[in-house]
Amino acid sequence: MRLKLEGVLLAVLGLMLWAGAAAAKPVGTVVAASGSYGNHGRVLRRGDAVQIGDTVDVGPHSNLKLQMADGSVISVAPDSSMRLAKYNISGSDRHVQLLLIHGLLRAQLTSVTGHSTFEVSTEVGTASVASDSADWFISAQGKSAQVGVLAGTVDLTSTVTGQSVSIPAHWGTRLETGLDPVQPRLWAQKEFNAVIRLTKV
Amino acid sequence: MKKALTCRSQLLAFLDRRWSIATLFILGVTGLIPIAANAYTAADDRNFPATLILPQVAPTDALWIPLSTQPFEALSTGDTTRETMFSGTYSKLITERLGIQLQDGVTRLNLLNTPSVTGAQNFDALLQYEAILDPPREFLLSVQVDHEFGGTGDQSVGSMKQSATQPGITFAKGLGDLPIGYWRPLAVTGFTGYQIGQGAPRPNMVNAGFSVQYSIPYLVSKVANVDLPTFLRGMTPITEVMFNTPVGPSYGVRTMNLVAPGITYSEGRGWELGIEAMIPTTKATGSGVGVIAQLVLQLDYLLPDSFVGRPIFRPSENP
Repeated sequence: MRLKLEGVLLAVLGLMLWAGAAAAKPVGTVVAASGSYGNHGRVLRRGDAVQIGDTVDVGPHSNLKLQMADGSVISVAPDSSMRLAKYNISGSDRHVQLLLIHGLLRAQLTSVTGHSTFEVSTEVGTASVASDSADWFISAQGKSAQVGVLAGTVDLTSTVTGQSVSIPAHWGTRLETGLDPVQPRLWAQKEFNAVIRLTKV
Repeated sequence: MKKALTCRSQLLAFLDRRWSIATLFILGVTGLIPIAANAYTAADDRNFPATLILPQVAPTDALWIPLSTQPFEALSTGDTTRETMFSGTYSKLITERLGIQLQDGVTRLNLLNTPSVTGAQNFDALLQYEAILDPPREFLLSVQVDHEFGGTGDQSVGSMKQSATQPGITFAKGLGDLPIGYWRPLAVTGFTGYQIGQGAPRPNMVNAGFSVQYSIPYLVSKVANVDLPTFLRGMTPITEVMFNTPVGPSYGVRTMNLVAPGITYSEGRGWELGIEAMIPTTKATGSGVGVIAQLVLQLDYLLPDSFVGRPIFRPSENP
């Protein structure tokens, strides 16, 4: 009986170690940065790896660019905080969940041959990429989120109402807390240039 | 009958054309007014749906396909009893704020005790420039000049031999910036133009109109989480009012007024449907309630990376 219990405990411990190793697996690398930025208080440097579960904080007047394991690039604007909740690359599939706590990020997604989901959640709703590849922005400011799409298609869904809109290339929209997403509209290049500037390192 | 037809053709010319400030004025305004943020039938989070009677409030990449029918009182043989029109307007952005519209269509006239006639409408071209866009105030204003090419349609269905040029102004204002609670989805749009006919019997005309609309998409996305069925969440009740009157020699053309209540429907997915009743308030406009329906295809949404979905000249991606 005692041997059986020890066996179970060892199996649980093994599983925990394996899960820890999986979670600690690097999913991206800092390829460009300026100003102050960190990961749970640890200062990141160019070439440092980021892992699942990491929360990346970028200070005011700072920028950070991450090259992810699948070739995608995530650029984080000043005064932003983002958590890498899930970044699974298995074979030709990709399943990503990011949490944008506040601020602005640009996601330039490469296409993968397998199944792909790429979601960024904010307090008010979730944006998910509906095309093979995409180049888009999402910002979370207070009780609203805004999405602009340079290439590809992104769906934006309200957490509270469940209603969603589909945003094609060159369009954008906003979502306010507890409401439906605003019907998308064409964005002027000037509007895109403003967010490109903010996410440029 | 001919006089009645002339009156109707003036109305139809307006309905068809949708209208129009001379190029020099546009260029002058362009230089004087600060550059707007973008050009589209939207100001910040306010989307202005396509109107069915009045001109569109701003240039865009889109295709409009309206179909309308209007009964008339026929007193003698050969008088028109019903007029049905089908047309198409292709709208193309040249720059983000300057666009051109090309329009043509066919008209069918049912005549009393006489075989009906079908023929082409005059070809029409419009240049429109969005001169002011004030997103925080949900306001935009466009200037335009329209030219109807006389003689390109069939005179048997009222298409006139004489051309006409019309400078005009359109505007749109949403009330979302005002502290008025559930009235914030309200918006008004308007148009005024002066049509210069190129010779008798085509008179000069003053054309004007406005619309009042209540956007349910705006209500559920900007004001309150109202529990409504999905199909209602895309509806915008709208009423358009149009007024046309001759100035100077009228050549028998009379004043026309039309009130058109209806709805437009959009899910924000690149298409829009609208339907309105056409209620004439003068005899020259018609004698019964007509109907107009319109399908709008937003080419910039449906084909965003193609020639038809993007301005010909656009600013570079250069932050």
